Amino acid sequence: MIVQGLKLAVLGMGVVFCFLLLLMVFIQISAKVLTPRSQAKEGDMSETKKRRKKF
Amino acid sequence: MEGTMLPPIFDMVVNFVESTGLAGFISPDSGGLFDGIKQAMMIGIGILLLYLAIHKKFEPLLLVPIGFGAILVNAPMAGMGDPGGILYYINVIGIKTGIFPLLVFMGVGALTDFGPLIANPKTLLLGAAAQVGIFATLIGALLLSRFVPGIHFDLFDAASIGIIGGADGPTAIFLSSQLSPHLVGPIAVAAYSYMALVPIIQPPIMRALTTPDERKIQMRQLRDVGRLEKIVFPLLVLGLCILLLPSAAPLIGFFMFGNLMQVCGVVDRLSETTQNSLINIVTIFLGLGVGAQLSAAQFLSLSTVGILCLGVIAFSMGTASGILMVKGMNLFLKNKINPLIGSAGVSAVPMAARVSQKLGLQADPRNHLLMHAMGPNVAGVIGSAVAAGVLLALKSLVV
Repeated sequence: MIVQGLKLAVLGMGVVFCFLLLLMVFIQISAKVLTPRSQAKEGDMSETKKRRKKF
Repeated sequence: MEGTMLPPIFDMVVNFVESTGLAGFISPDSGGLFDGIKQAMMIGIGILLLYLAIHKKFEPLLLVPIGFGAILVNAPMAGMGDPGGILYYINVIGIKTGIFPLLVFMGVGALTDFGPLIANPKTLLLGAAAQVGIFATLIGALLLSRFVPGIHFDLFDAASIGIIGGADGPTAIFLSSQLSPHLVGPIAVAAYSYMALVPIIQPPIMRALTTPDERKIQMRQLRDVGRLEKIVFPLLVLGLCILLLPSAAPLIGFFMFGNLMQVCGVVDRLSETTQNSLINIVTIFLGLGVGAQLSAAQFLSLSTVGILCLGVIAFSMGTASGILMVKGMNLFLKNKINPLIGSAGVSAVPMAARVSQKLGLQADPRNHLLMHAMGPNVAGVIGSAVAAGVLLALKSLVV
């Protein structure tokens, strides 16, 4: 039974690390893709606010 | 009036006395005086849980209903935990089906801010490392079963006990209700008790594994995370979960659904309900349902002592492995991570992050680690849900 437990532990830790490692990679990719967009969006929003203030 | 005829007054008095709780303690239906004493002991344990919750403020939101549920289910002659009793139905409907822990998890998701994690994704690895506690405890449970007479844990029981190391109450209850329903009571009590004891269990381990210089490491300020990134994140995690580990989809799905409601900003009413009313209502019933599992027959055994001992080991191993992971990563990183935040990988949100902050401030009063520690802290929640998914998959793996 202990050997079964060891097998499960190795599989479990492997899956946890792979899952979170993949997630880390995807977060980094999404940050690269999305950050310029959100900055542009925020820029647009602040410009619109400025224009509204002028009027 | 034949059906409503009462017996003679003496018989009525005798019947009434026999139906009192006092008589129930002395001569319970199931057996002799010994069973009555065990029920009284369980009521004592219920009162102890209430004391810890009310006086010591140990996880009061859960321990008050659990303690009260333990008293109710052990009340002789009341039959509240027997088929037909309210606690029986709460337990069957909410705990055995896994509905209550999942709803609580949704509420936790709605209360969670993934910003610090998205800003510093490397901290995901700390959340992964801290799950060593789960699997080390699993092996510990099997070793106990092998070498200690009177303790018999199979692989499912060991997996359920191991999840205590995830320091995540709803996950522990959900997994044990699916794999070992007879152990839900002791596992939930151990998980919540040790989560409350995080400020006592973790600091000595953190001090032992770090040098004063390491504790003073200042980390770079986290970048601002945009709304779009926060909206994409729960969908990203769910997508990965569906593709790689569907068995974790109930836990991760509800967690991420709760979070999406909060960050999307268009369902504020739903998000507010999930964060407040819903989680509060479900917590009451979850606690009562867990308390209903604390019957004398299930709780007063050598296995419970084993589970409580293994719980400490689980928390300690998770804490240590998170810290050691940071130390290992620091060998390769240009911008060093303060090893004190590694311990926050055990989940126990936000208690573990607060412990990191407190120790960081003790080392250097200008060093605020709270936001940095929130990254591994929420990563630990995802990590323990993934680990639970692997353990749930055990059902299909067993040949």
